[in-house]
Formats: sequence, structure tokens, C-alpha cells
Amino acid sequence: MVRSRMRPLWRLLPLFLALVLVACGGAPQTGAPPAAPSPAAPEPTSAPAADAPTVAPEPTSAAPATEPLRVAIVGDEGTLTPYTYQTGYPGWNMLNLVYDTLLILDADNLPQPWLAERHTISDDGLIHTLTLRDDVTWHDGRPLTSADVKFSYEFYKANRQSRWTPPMGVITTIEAPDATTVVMTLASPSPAFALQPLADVPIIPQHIWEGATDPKAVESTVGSGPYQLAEYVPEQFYRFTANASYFAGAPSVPEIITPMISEPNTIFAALRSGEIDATVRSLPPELVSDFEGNAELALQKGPGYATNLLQFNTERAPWDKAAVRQAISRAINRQQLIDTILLGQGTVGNPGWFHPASPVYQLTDAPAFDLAAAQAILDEAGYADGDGDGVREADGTPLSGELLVYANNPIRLRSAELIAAGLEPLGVRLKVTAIDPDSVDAKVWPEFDVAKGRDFDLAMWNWSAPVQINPLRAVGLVHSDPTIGTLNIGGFKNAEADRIGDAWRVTVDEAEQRALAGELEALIAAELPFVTLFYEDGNYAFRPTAYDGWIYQKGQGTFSKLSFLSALRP
Amino acid sequence: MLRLLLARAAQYLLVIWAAVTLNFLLPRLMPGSPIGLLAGEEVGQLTAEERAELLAEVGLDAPLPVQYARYLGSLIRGDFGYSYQRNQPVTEVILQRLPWTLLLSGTSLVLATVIAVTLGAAAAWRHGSRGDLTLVSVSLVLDALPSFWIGMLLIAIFAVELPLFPSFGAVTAGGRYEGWAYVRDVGRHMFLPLVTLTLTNLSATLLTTRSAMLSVLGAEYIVTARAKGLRERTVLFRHAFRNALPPIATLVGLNLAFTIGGATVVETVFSYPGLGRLTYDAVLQRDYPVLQGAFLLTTLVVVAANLLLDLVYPLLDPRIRRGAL
Repeated sequence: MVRSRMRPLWRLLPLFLALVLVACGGAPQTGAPPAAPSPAAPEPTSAPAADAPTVAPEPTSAAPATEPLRVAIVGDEGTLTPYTYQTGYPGWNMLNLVYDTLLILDADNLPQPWLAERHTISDDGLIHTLTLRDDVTWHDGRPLTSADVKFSYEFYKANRQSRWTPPMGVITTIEAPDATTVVMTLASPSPAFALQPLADVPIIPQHIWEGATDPKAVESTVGSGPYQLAEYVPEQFYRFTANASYFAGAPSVPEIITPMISEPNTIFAALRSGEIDATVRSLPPELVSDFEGNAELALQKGPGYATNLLQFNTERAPWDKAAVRQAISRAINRQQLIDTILLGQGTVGNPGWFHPASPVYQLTDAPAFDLAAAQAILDEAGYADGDGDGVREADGTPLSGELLVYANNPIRLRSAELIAAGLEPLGVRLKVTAIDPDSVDAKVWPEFDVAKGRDFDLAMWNWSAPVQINPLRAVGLVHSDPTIGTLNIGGFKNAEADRIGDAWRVTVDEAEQRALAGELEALIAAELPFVTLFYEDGNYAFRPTAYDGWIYQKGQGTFSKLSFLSALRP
Repeated sequence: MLRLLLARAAQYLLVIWAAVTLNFLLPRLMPGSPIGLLAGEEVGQLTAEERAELLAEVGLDAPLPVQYARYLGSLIRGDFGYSYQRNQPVTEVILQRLPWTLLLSGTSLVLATVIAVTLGAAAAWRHGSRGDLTLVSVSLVLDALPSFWIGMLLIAIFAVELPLFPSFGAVTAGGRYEGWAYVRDVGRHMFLPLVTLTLTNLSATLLTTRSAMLSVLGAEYIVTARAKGLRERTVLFRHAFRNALPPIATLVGLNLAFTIGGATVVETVFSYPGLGRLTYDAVLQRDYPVLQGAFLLTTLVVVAANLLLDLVYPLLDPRIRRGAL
């Protein structure tokens, strides 16, 4: 029995192997898209830099008409409705290809008219009047009116969504006196109201969402945006097609496909092989020079607003002493971190939190790295190494502790190691503990609720770009009331910080807002609830022959509505 | 006999129950919580009441024993729950990915087994020859190489330098192929992950086959068979290989079981939409229902593979037949 079964299998083996090889290996010669870019490559043999400009501008207008633009994203964003998308970037940006907001952030993150062509605020800051365009239609042809806006805002208020619902809290009433006018009355003045919700919350069609009891179950993606979601294959890709009758003009790329590529190395390999034309992921520093030398690819560079911090638990001794935090901040060589770990692709952290590219950045004279000055601060505060073990102490409390870091993030891990080594000569001993991200989160920010307390000494931390884009969110980093200081993971308590925050939260006047931002910046730089280490610069690689109209939105990246519309080109 | 069968069945049920319990407990013992997944990106903005509501919606507010009882109850009703992340029934989520895993891992299992058993038997037959030494060394090297490294290397060579094969996905994103063109598209996308997975899975089976064959080839009945003047092929296949089969079958059976779990690393490197990546994402995101569903499927297949092996052994080795099941 065994014999009769084995024999045919033995004979089939070579045939089977041959079949597999032929079936798979034979294909590529004929119709493979990756083969297309390579014949073009050998031509600019001598000076690619000089050749590039003459080659690049011509095909851009012709190429998009035939081939879809392929932009790799990292993971699945669900059915891509306002209740199912997953990430702030690129999920929110993809959502906004399909939907529109009342205002829109331009490349400098300043709110501009969009669905609303006019936005006026009463002198007391309580009444916001928005005048809508009268030429906007939903993808199904129906007109978008003030009733849809009123419905959307009330729907988000009633159906909790973590990004849309909290900013609705300040709105007391919404009126739609005529088809193009919306009047919102606020309970208190709200300085960031234009950023969030007006330029953030997508408007949804009343005729589709009305009566939905489970918003997550709504599958329709009818919006008013420049693109329609034409296809979604879970774990594989999204396909967007242009909305030719878009009110701001038809978008410049007729079709966008966003394949999901989970492994970063594969994304950049696919970019080189020509399988994709761009990606939402910034190049890791070690690949930048490599890609700069690639004649077929170009880079969009700009500031990144994701912010890397050394976070203190300010409730725990000795990290509760401002002098200790100041000394540590002075003893960290931020430029060296950038040069060593980011290979120069970064911006030195402002000890006062705000990115130097932010409109509210004012602290231009931050103290530089100075180990001797740091030592002097500790000497003066009474910390000395009494027992000769290399660690300073005062009142029996040694300057030593555990520095938590995500084990899966090489940049933060290397930063932690360099910082720990750099603090050793200061007499501060940090033990770097690298564990899985969830375990770090569970200690630093249990259940993502600062009211639940914390159990750590120090941690390497990172806040994503939106926390910088809306300057007012800095209040959330330092305010001692957990319902306001929702991001105050270090348990920082400072009456002055609370006072500035409380004032800023209800200030309408722009000059006053800026002054308060400056005060808070100076306070953070002096008290240092955390050390702002650096901001990783963005390096977005793309294939100019496929599309070169990318717009870099400050701090965020290139994948947004702005890149596909002529209306908001700077 | 019936009694034995019943005892066996009870044994399997016990194993499944233990696995189900572990599948329920382990994810909940991990640090972290699915609150981030349930709330969405701005979880920090939610008030304590809103968090409590969110957890209550999916029943995570109940004490563990209650959650456990509910879970067992729904399992018995055939209800595998709803994914926190995907707003889809778990069964649907798994069924979307299962075909891709079966295609990739299943093909690789067949390929790796056929190649490894052939080469392993050949190596044992020519024990000590240069071919044997080469095969053993290559197997050991392959065994030591991490699969993501092999995968990245293949991508660098066959997708970037020589753009012959796609580096990601199961089909061309947005491609509208049908019929043969579709089959070819799937084949082209499967090629690099298949080679990676097969290379990774080759060595264990090859080395096992080789050593099983070696132990048999030294036996006296082989000497007898040769002394009778039987042809070498007959000795190899009828006498030696057949007796070397049980350990090989065990290994292949286990591989079969793990195949369903999906090839997490290879699926991640090549962004292949299979079960391994699904499970990995679910672990990272604390998507308990998906985790439970995926682990349960693996459990059932492991048990089924064991059952299959129990049934196959007596066919392979008559000595086991006497001991019955």
C-alpha cells in the first residue's frame, strides 16, 4: 500500500517543481509594472542632479492620467467612516479625502475657509457664525446644506467618538436659520475652536446617517470630498477615485490606491522597485542618503511635530525637585542625540515644548548643553556623593532610578542608553529598562487615564503631531486637573501653570493667546515636567514621474487633501 | 472498544477545554487593555464614565468569572464574538484570512515536506558522501537563519535589484484581473513568501528524515534484505523508508497543525493577509475576541492533527495496532 502511493508522488515531484517555476517565473517578462521604470534608469548616467529637472516636470501631467497613484500605508483603517477609521495619521487624512470639514488647515496649519466660506466670531467669543458655500454636493448628488452641518455636530455630540465628541462639549446650541448659515453658541470662549472642531470634524450626510443607532455599523462612505472610496479590501488596499464635480475643482490625481504594507523595510523596498510611488511613512534616518542618491526618487523634507521626551514622574522623589530636573536637562546633549541616532535628521528640542516651526514658539534663548552648569545646580541644591558610589544623594534619597522605554523602538532605546551614559558623570544613575510598549503604557499612563495614577521614575515618551499642531494642547500636558490635563502623565502640579492654562482656555484675543503661550513655554522650560529632546524631521520619498505635486503640511507630512488640490497651494 | 473511544473523546474534550480557558485567560493577564482600541485615537480625552461605558458595551466591566461563563456560553452557541477593532464578527474576520493562509502555508508545507523527505532519504542513503555533508550543512545554516532575514534578502534580490516578483500583498492592489490572469497574479505574489517559508521549514523535516532513515538503515533486516539480493530501490522504499515513517509523520502532523496558525513573520515581511498577521495585530491591540477565535482555531487543528496521527500510526506501524487506540 505504501509503495503504490509513494511512486506516483516521486514521479510528480519534478513536474510539480517545474510547474511552480514556470507558472511564477515565466510571468514577469510580459506585463509587469515593476519592469517599466528600470529602462528609464540607465539614461541619466552622468550627472543625475542636473538631468533630473529636465526629466521631471514633463511626465507629471501625462503619467497620472493612465496609472493610479500608489501610496503605501501601514495598516488597515477599517471601513473608513468617521466611526471606524483607526489612526490620526494617515487614517484621518484618508478620511478627509472622502469627507470635508467646515474649515481646513493649510500647509502652515492655519485654518482657512472650506465648506464654510466665512467664519465670524462675536466680540465675546461665544457666537460663531459660519456661512457655507452654496455649490457643494454629496457624492450621491444631493446638496450639502446647513442642515447637514447641524446634524453632523449634533450626531457627534450624541454618539461618542474620542476625537469628535470632546470638542463638542463647549457648544450649547446650533442653529441653521437658512440653507447656508450655521450659528453655534458656546458656553465659554474657545480659542482653538477653529482648529478643533471646525477644521477637524468631518461633515456627514444627514440623509444617510439619520436614524443610525450603531454608528460603527454604518457602511456608507458617501461624503462631499475630492475622492470617493471605490474599493476596500481588508488587510490589502483602498482605492479612491476622483470626484470630478468637487467644489474646489477636480483633484489632480484621478485614482489613488493605498496598499497596506505592514513591514517598513518592505515599504522602502517597494518604493525602490517601483511597486509604489510614495508612502505615508517618513524614511528612517539611515536610508535618507541612500534615497537622495536615487535618480528615480525624490524627497519632500520638513519639520516633524512628533515630539520625543524624557518624561519625569514628578510625584516621586527625587524627580519632584525642579533643581534635579533642571540639572538633568542641562546635562543632556540633544544635538549629540540627533547626530548619533537620527544621523542629523532632527531638530533640537525646545525645553519649552513648542517646535521652533510652531507659530507660538518664542523661547529663542534656551540654555545649551553644559555639564558643569548642571553639576553646579545639583551642588547648590545639596546633592552630593557622600558615600563615593558615583551617585549623588540628599537626605538619603539617591539620584538613581529606572528609565522605561519601548523595547521595539530603536530610536528611543538608543536615546535612553545615550542619556543614561551621559548622566553618569553628573552623579545620576539611570537603569534603562526596555519592555514591551503595553507594559510601559500600563505603568506610565495606566488605561490612558491620568486620574489612575502612575508607577515609574522616568520614561522615554513621544507625543504625536496633533499635540503640537493645536498649541492649546500644551495646557493638557501640565494642568493638574486630570479632566483638563488629560496628557499630564507625570502628575505635574504647579499653580502658575494651572493659572496660565485656565486663562488661555478662554482667551479670544490672538495677541493675548500668544502671550499666554509664551508664558507657558517659559514655565515649562524652567520647571521641566519633561525634557523635550528632539523632533524627528520628516523625509517623505516619492517617485516624481508618477506624481510630484506633493505639499508638505508642516509637522505632519505629505499625504493629505492639500497635495491633490490646486486651491490651497502655497 | 467503544469504551476506549469514549475515553479518547473525553480526553480530547478536556484538552480543548483547557486550551479554551487559557485562550481566555492569557490575553487578559497581559498588561495593557483594549480600551485604546475601543475608544479610538484620542482615548486620553475620555472621562472616567465614558471609559466605563465603553468597557460595559463589550462586557469587560464584569468580573472575570462572569466574563468566562459568558464566553463559554457563547462558544457553545457557536458565537465567537465581535472584533473590537474591525466591527465584524470574528468568524468573518478569520474566514477572510483563512484561504490565504491555507494557500501559502499549505503549499509550503507540501513543498517543504516533499523536498525535505526526498533529500533527507537520499542523504541517509549516501551517508557520509559529499552530497550528504553539503545537505546537512545547508540545512543547519537554513535552520539558523531567521525567516525575516531570508525574506528581506529575497525582496532585495528578486523584487528590487531584478524586479521579477512583487514584494508585498497577495494580489496586485487595485488590479482588476480575472481568470488566468488572476491566478498568475496570485502565483507571482505568493512566490517569494512561499520560497521563504519553504526554506525555513525545510531543515527540520530533512534532518529528521535523515536520522530516522539512518537508524533504520543500520538494522539487521536491511542487511538481510540486501543479502537476499533485492534491488536497492526496493530496499530503500519498501524496507527502510516505511519503517522510518513514524517520526516523520509525527513532525509533519505537527507542522500541519502550526500551518493554520499562519506564518506570522513571513506574512508580516511580505504583508500577506493571512491568519498569522491577524493574530499578531490582535495581540498588539488586545483585540480579545479575535485572539480567542484565532487561538481556538489553532487548538482545534492541533487536536485534529493529533487525532489524525493516532489513526495513521497503526497503518504505518503494525506493532501499534495490537495496543489499539
